[in-house]
Formats: sequence, structure tokens, C-alpha cells
Amino acid sequence: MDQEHPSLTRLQEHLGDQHLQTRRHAGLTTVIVPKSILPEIVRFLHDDPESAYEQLTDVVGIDYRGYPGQPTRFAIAYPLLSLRHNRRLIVKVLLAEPDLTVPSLTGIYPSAEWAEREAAEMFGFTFEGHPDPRRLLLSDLFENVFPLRKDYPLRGAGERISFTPISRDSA
Amino acid sequence: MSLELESKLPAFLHSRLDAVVGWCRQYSIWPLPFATACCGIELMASACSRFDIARFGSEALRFSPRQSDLLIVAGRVTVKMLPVLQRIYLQMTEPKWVISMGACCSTGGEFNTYAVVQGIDQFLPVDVYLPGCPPRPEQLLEGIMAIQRFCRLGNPQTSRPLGIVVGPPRAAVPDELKPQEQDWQKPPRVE
Repeated sequence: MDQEHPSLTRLQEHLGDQHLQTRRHAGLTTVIVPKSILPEIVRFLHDDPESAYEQLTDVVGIDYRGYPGQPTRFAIAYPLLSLRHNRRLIVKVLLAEPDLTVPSLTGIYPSAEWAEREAAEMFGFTFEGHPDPRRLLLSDLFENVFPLRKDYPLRGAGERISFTPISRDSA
Repeated sequence: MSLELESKLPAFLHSRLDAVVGWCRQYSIWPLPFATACCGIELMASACSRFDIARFGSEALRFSPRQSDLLIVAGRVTVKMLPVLQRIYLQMTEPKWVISMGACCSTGGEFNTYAVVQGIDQFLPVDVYLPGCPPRPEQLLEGIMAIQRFCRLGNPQTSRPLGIVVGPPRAAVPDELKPQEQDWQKPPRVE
């Protein structure tokens, strides 16, 4: 475990002998956690006064299709920010099809609500316990298709031409 | 009116009624600004004092489709927005015209993605296209003037859209103001 990041030391003390995989790149530390203990870890990072991650800045869905060296196809990254300690930490959950459900973090961070709705409609994740699981940005035409997945065509699957034209005579 | 000018006029004027109505109508085309992107900034500039859309009687920008005659679509239209745009068009009262302002609105522009409609003329009748990214306010004014000329004919609402393209204005720069070659040379170095 990367012992340079102070929050990781605290997290390891909290978890005891359970080992978490970490990665450090471009000045940012990522910790990969199993989704079963994701709410517990994020709750600890939020509540612990020496970690004090008050902000969830985003919920980032990732599709690793065709990416070398990745064990699973999907991942969700939660970049946390502590204003009190001027620190950032990325918590990442790896997901594999067909089980794309993950616990919602709206109980810890209310800001997760819209971000999780966006990630859900763009990648097809299911956030368990989300208070309002409607779609956020996309049109209702995007039924069971997920535009930010890598196997979705850039120019769409015909949604943008699926309208009825209005002519002068019909208007 | 003075007496001598009055005496020179004929005793009565006659015209077609639809020509009179068209003449009146052409100076009160009320636009609905449907500005979804940066072309809306040029649309706002057209309404401000430098370009002054009020010179052509179109200064009353209405945000209700029921009070407007001209739909100016300025900016990219997404898949989610197109049903709204179609509904707004259906709510407008006739005679009504549509100006497609800018490359994104007419063709999708650089946004060739799943979310952006590649030209609203696939789903709406468009009377005037304004190419440009964004078009100049002069092009918008010229487009309104083109619609005015059709109004003046007395038959404003054709069953097919007009399909006019208003290109960018040519720069009329006098020769003495054109950049000379030495203007572009590097200034001499200070020793």
C-alpha cells in the first residue's frame, strides 16, 4: 500500500489486515475497493477528522473495453476532495458484467445524486438505494442504450433521425 | 401635409388588399429567438444599437411562439431539444418563417455525434439558411430582409419553404486601408 498518502495510512489502520490495491499517477492517488465495503470506506473517509473528505467532486464511469491489462470491463471512480486538509483521493470500484450494480453514495454525499444519475444512463450502472433513479440528461429515445460505452457508435444508433418531419402543410 | 402637395396626389389610390396587408406585415415581423448556443450572441448583437434590428421592424423579440412570426434557431439542436422546437413551431400562428442561423443548426456543424441533430431542415421547414460559425449580424438582417421581400409580394406563406441562403458579407475595404506588405514584416530590432 502506498504509505505516502496520509489518508491511506488512516484507512489501513481502520481496515486492519484487509489489503487494498492502490495506484499513484500524476500526483493523484487511487485506491481500488471492493463494492461490498464501498459505503463503509467512503463513510470513514468522510467522517474521520484526519481524512475529512467533505466533497465528492464527480462520479466517473469508465469503460475499459479493449484496454490492456484491466481485469474488468467497467469501473466507477469517485474523486474525493478534502478542503480542510487540501487533499484529494480517488476511490475506484471495478465492475464486471452482468452485475453492474453498486451501492449509492447519496446517503453520504448528497451531491452524488445527479452524478450517479448521469453515470447510470451513460453506462448502464444501477445505483442501489438512489432516491430518484430517473434519467438526467438523455432523451427518452435512448432506451437501453448507453452512449458512453465504447461499443456504442459515435454517431448514434439512429436516434437523431428518428423524428417525424413537420411540413408547411401539416403545421 | 401642405395644400400644394395634397393637390398633386390623385383623388384616390387603388391597390390589391393583400399587397397592402403584405406591405404592412413586412415591417412587423416579430422574431422568436431560439438561441441554444454561441450564435445567440450574434443574435443579441443584431438587436443591439450597432446593428439595430429595429431598423427593419423586427425589434420586438417575443418569447411566446403565439406572438411571433419568425423562428430564429441559433445554435445546435440536440435530440432532446428537437421535439421542443417542433412543438414551438406548431404553436406559432401563420404566416410564419424559420431562419436556421449558423453551421450547427443547418448541418450539425462540427458536432457529428449521437446527441446532435444534423440539420433542423430534416424535420422543420427552413426558409433562410445563414452559413457561418457564427454568421455575421448583417447576414441575419439580410435574411430578414429576404423574408420582407416575399411579404411584399402579398403571398407570404408559400406551401414550400423559401430555401434562401444568405452568404457572408464581402469585406469592402478601400485599397488605402488594406494591410500593406511591410506591415507584416518584423519591426527592426532596437540596438
